[in-house]
Amino acid sequence: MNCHRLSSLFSAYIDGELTGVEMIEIRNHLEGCPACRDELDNVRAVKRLVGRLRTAQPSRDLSTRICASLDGVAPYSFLRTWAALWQGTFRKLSPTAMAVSLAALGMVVYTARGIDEQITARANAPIVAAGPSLTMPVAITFNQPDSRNLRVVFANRGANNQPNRWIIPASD
Amino acid sequence: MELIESITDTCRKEERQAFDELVHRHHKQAYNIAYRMTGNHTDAEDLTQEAFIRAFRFFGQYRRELPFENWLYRIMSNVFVDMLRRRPKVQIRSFDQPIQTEDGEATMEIADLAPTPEESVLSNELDARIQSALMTMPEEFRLAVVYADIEGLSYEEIADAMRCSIGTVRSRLHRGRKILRERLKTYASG
Repeated sequence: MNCHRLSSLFSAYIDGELTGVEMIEIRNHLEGCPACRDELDNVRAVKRLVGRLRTAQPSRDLSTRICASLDGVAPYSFLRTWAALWQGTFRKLSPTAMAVSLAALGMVVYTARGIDEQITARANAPIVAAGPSLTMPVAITFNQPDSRNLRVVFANRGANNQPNRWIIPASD
Repeated sequence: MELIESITDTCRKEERQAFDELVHRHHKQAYNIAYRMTGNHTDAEDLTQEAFIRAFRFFGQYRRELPFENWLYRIMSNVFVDMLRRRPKVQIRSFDQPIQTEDGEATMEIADLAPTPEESVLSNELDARIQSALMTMPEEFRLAVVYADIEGLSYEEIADAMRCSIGTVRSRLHRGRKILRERLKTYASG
């Protein structure tokens, strides 16, 4: 690495924010390069100068004023956001736009109908195979692309070093 | 219904009490950072106050397992940038950038700052010169230098506060310190 490239790393070097390899590379280079040693000393001196700036003091009553100013501030909440959205957007929608939005929402609900029953039915199905010990599932998929049986794969591994799994057959 | 309102009210009061305590505990540290960012007492107090107000508004989103000051710094950085946008007259221009005058192009020089009574607390000449040099830097370099050298944050924490990558922090610090070295040659030689 040349001096120019190395000097761009001096800041991170004095902050201890380089990798071990980079640190060693810089140290080796510094041993034989007085110009870079000077440069590094300058960067170090700048850091020291800024670091010794005195702590600026606020007015004595700043914290009291801040606390007083919070009296009129309402913490953010989702309910309030929705209320603002309702007032700011939906109430200004024309009847046609409102009808279109409601129809779109209805279609989403209609398309998703019955999904929860299917999930419950499969989860309640009898277990046909279980590993020796179980941890958190890492994947739940269908056993085969065209199968309705669920495959639950766990993080731990069995005797053959294969991940433990359950096969849950479809309820119908 | 009354019971729910009463419970909500109690929670709100407790949250407010907890936040007031955080204000008392961290306002001096926050002000110091704000002062180094803005370079003057009035803007520093405004920035501190605005940052706490915004923090209170979004207090529900604060993850309690993380240090409060780091979260506050992130808010302060945003408030500071907003402040500069709202008041372009305080935007800092690079000293290297020539300015157009009626008599043609001119370059700026650092003013020889004599401490004013308002700045009596920072009347030390060296302090004033360092602060003056900080103010000549682009604000993103200044923020990085202040967080690293005054607050002693790690690059990861600075990246989080400034919402940028660690590589960007590294480059901003390198360039920021280079500018400072030029401005403070007399004091920072070896």
